Amino acid sequence: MQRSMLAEKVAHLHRELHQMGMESLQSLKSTLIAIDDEDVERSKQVIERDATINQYELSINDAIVEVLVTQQPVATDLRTLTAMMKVTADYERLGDLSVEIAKSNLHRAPFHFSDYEKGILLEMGEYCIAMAEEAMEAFHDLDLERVMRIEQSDIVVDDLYGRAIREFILNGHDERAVIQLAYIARSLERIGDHCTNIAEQVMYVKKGVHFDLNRPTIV
Amino acid sequence: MQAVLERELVEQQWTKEQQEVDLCLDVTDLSIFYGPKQAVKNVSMPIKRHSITALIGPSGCGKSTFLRSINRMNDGIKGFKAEGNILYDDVNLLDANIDPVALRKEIGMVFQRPNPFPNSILKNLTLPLKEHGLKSKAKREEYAETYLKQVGLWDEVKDRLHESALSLSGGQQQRLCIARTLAIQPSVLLLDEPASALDPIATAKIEELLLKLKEKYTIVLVTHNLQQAARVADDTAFFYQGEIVEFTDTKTFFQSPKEKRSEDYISGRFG
Repeated sequence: MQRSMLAEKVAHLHRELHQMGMESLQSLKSTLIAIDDEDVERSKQVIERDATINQYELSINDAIVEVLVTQQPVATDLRTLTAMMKVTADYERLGDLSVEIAKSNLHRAPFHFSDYEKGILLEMGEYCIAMAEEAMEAFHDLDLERVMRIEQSDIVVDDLYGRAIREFILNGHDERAVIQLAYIARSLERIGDHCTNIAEQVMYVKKGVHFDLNRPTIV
Repeated sequence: MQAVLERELVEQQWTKEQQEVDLCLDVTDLSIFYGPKQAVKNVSMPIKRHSITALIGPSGCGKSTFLRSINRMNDGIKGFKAEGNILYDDVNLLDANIDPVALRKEIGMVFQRPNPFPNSILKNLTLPLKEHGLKSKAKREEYAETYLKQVGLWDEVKDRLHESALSLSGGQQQRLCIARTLAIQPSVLLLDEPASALDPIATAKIEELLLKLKEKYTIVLVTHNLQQAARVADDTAFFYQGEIVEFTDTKTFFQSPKEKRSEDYISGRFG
């Protein structure tokens, strides 16, 4: 009886977490559309809706603590709940980084990014969106196939980031824009890392061992 | 990623094997029968010195039988037969020439229900010392104080040493029983659900005591309280139908058990 209650609570938390992931993903998509369209109003909305994501983090973590206290889970249940706490932090950061991108769009407003520069950012952005979607599904379904795809995508995003920075510095058409371009590229690279963190939590829940996917290398 | 997975598992295995293990008891292929019924089936368990090993499992799984066989408490049961080895300092405790009385001086036992002698608190400590040949009354009383202090009972009873031990609370009685066991200076303490009849505060005191005692003694603990095993044990063995399903360090056992039956049991899904 007690255990079916625990299973129910874990399932409910999975749904809440998925919902939080959807909110973060929506912010990411929206902030990138705003870059593409040079839409300042949309960027402001991204900044405003971040409070909703932060609220999700608090309420989900409170609910997790309650389950830990009242149900005293062990084994897979315990790993799932501790992993969920970390995943809420990753989704929250995903929201924050979307806000950072939105702020860069506001700072850009007096001038423009070239289509070429936007193209580089949006290519990174597409990978990040795909990674965030994969991460959400991977954690929900504990799907190791998706974990492997996330790991591969993160390698691509890291590579794109390096190329983007070089490109902006060498060929940036407006020096005032370069710093914002670099900030945005950096935020996207960090989003890739947070998706990889979520993938690592999938590994932990599934295998009970901590993994470090796509370890950073010194170039 | 698969390569990473395999490498990490190999590394963990290697680290485990490299750790030098000082065993106090080494149980190998132990089988125990009550007449035609086999209660313990081919159990092997290395028990580390100065550690707490918890034995858990549903009722009738063989964990108490296993515990009691370590100091030959089952010998008198009709139809009892044990095969295999329980090595203690290279001596097989199952050998016929082992003197159970001498053995129980070395390997003491504390039971589920506190069972103090219906004598004074002091006499509960001094009587066994006298039985074991300590002639000096002053020495016996000195030892009594030492062991009452060791179990954290001295301050609570020093002014009423001549009152009946039965006037103590359940938790105090259990600590008195542990002191009585320690007074004859064993190396190993076997405890069969020592806190199951106690309230949470008395239970916490017993658990703190066990953690302190493991510096000097090797402790084997049977418990139905999974959280208790998680709190105090270094290693945990899960018994089921007379077999050991899993025996590993406690952190691994409660965080990432390897066997599905272990996971199901500790998650409350069966048992």
